[in-house]
Amino acid sequence: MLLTQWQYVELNASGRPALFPEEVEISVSDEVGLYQGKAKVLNRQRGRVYLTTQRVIYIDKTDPKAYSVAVKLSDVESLELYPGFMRSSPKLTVYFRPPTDPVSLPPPVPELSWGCPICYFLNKWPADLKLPSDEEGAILPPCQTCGVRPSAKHILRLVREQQEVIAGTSLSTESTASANTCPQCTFINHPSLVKCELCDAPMQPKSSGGKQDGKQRAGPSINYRDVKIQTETDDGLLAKDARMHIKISFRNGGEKAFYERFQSEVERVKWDTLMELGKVNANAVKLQNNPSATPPPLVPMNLNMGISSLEQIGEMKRKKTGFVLSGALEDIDQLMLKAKELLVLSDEFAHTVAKSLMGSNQMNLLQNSSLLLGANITTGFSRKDLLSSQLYYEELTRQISDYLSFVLPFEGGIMSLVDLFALYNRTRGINLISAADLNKCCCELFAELNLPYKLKEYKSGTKVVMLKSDQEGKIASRIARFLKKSESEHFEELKERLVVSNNQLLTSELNNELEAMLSNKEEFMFKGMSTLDISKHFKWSYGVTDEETELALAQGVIVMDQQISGTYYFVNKFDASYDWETEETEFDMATWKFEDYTTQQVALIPPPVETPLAASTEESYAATPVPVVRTPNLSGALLQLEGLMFD
Amino acid sequence: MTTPKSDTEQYKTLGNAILERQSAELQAQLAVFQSALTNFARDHGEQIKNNAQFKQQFIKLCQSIGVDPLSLSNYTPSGVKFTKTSSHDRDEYYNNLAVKVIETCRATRDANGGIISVDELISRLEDATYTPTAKDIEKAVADIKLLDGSFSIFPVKNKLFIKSIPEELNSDQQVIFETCGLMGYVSPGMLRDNYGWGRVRCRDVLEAMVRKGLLWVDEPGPKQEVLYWEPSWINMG
Repeated sequence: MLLTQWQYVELNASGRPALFPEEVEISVSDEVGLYQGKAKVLNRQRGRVYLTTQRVIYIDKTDPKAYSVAVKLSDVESLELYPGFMRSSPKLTVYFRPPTDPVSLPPPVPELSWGCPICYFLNKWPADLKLPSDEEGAILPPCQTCGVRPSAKHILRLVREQQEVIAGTSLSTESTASANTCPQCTFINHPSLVKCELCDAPMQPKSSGGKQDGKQRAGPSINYRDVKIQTETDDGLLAKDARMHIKISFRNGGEKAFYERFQSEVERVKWDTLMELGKVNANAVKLQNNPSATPPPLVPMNLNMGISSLEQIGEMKRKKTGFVLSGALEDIDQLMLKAKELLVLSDEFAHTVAKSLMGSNQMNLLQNSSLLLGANITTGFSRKDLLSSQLYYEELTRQISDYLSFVLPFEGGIMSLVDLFALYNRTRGINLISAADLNKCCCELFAELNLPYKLKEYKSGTKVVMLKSDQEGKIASRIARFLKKSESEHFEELKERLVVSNNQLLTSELNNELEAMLSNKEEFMFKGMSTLDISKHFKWSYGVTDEETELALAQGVIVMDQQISGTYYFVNKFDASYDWETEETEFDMATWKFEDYTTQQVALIPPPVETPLAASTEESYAATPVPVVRTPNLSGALLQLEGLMFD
Repeated sequence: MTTPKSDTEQYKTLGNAILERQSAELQAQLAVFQSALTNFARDHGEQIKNNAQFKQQFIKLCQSIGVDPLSLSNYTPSGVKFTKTSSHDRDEYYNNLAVKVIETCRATRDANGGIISVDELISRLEDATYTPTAKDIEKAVADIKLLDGSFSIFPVKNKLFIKSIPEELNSDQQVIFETCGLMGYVSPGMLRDNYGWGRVRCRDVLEAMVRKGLLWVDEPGPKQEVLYWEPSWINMG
């Protein structure tokens, strides 16, 4: 028999389950097998099992994509631990709830409300007041905050739209139900939201169809593919009064800790479900709440109009914030209960925080890490959560791989291990990993677990991580292309300015003359790119840029010019044997000037070449067969350009 | 009688006053929030760590209101929480320190070219409750060295320096660092008189170090000699 509780699991590139928003991993155990009823489930006898705040997930070792399955915690009725005997491994039996329809929330009576066109305050339409019948004449209640009366037309239009939407959603089938349109502002929200993202209006609960019961926080709209479960023998679940259950067999131990965490999660989920269904009495609070305290209402009691009222609302809001803060910070239990509320609040603070930290180094770090948290990247698990150290390392490596998939694009595809260590630990916040652990993960386990990253060590001992698909040598040509491009851009810009400042049309004749002039004058010359420029362009850290330019120098693709003001890099035009231009076909001035000349002579200079550029270009121009236009031959137009100053 | 213009003016002033007051109140609330959260982390560290979901929320909370989660788990060596016997706390402490050492080295690289004295590092890391010792820093750097062989700690005379760049200092550069350790700066004249270096040698070594950002140039005046300062002395003011 097929249990409906089995669910399909989406995996990410690191071979870990893709979690729903707000889903957090709690524990993991390896070397487990699954049973359905009494019988072993085929193809699911060797894998890892994750416990999260919403699911229990089995990830198969041999073919994770095909055989991974999950069970929602909200389907679980109870657990039982079998400690194992002789050759039978310890097993955790998971009993499912009988498949009765869960009580769903009664649909709330639709309320009509209108947004004020002046101050955007969301007014409630008084229930006892009739809607204006026509577009003229009727006396309407003013906005509660700014005191401006809306036009009847505005109200009627809003009401009509609202009714249409409500009618639409209640009649609709799957197509519109997934859209989750806001009844107030018609914004199409994510299906999992219960409140409109834009106007905060409560959303219509979707008509509960099929398995989608009301209380489930549906995650990202996953294509629920069918999970095919085959058992070795008869599972015995078809028998009369058989309780629906599955078993997780722990062949490598670890069942006890897993069971305890599982048990407490199941209880928490049950409690949350009750809370959501409104079945908990107001006084039956799990942890002692402060009974006397009720948050002050958001809307002021005695309504005034205009500015004073707006001010009053601000004041009320502030008081409410204060209330939440003082309530939540009483003790740790309260803090845990109210964490969600506080998170919403802290978003409001974010602006203030940003102002006070403006410019400081800390700000970048904070932004960085909050970005990462926003992406729901798990950095959980400390060493003591997991039984075997091998499992700990494997899991850590997978988590780092997840983290890299998010952070590497910001780092230009290469990230030094040191930076990764600092940034990753900052994201973890507490329970930091040690340098030795990170080293072990990246050095050994990336390859072993077949993850899409690899480690590269430079001569100096600096280690970096990068995509496995990035080939050696490609980076040097990328640097060269960048240098070449910035050089031609430099000349194009100069030409542009010369032409524009003299209202000339850029004819090909003038173009040639300009180029000749620009390339002959030292003040117009391309000054090269510093390490900083290169770092900025590729988004690399300094360390990475240093190492990569060093490699490119050694390959002879680029040359450098060392001055007291710093080191500047140029494309190596002395050595024509290196082919860094194959990927670019467009006409490029810099190459065009040199292509004949390079084959003739300077290919003899062996790389790496370090030449002060001023000297090298001068001698090279002397040998260039390109017609050099001397000043006497310049056209009248160009002569006027002589002596132009560039600031 | 008021003209329409002065009305607008008055509204403006009123609006500004309200905004200012609100932002001041927000600031005050934020400060309370921050300090409360810091206290929580110090008092209930274990509880926070043991609850995976709450831990994530807590860190998110810290980050969005501008509290550095790393500063929360500062187990001071002298403090009650930190005992050398508890290996987990000790690891946490050194990992934490390593992160901060890396960040400080990176942040100051623009100013000092990637070489920073341990004294300066400590003065940047210490806060009201906690000062890392040179020994702690040495241990942290030894950990980091696993990840990046170019990270190292080296003595010049009696002073310790941390290097976070691939280049090695050559013996001439070492000499200059030693001299800087005494005075804070060197000049070509000093090098000539004390070590007998020629003009070209002085210029080459000094200019190379300036280029890498290890020394800062100080040109006091037309007739005076150019001085080359070591950045950590500049910061000391």
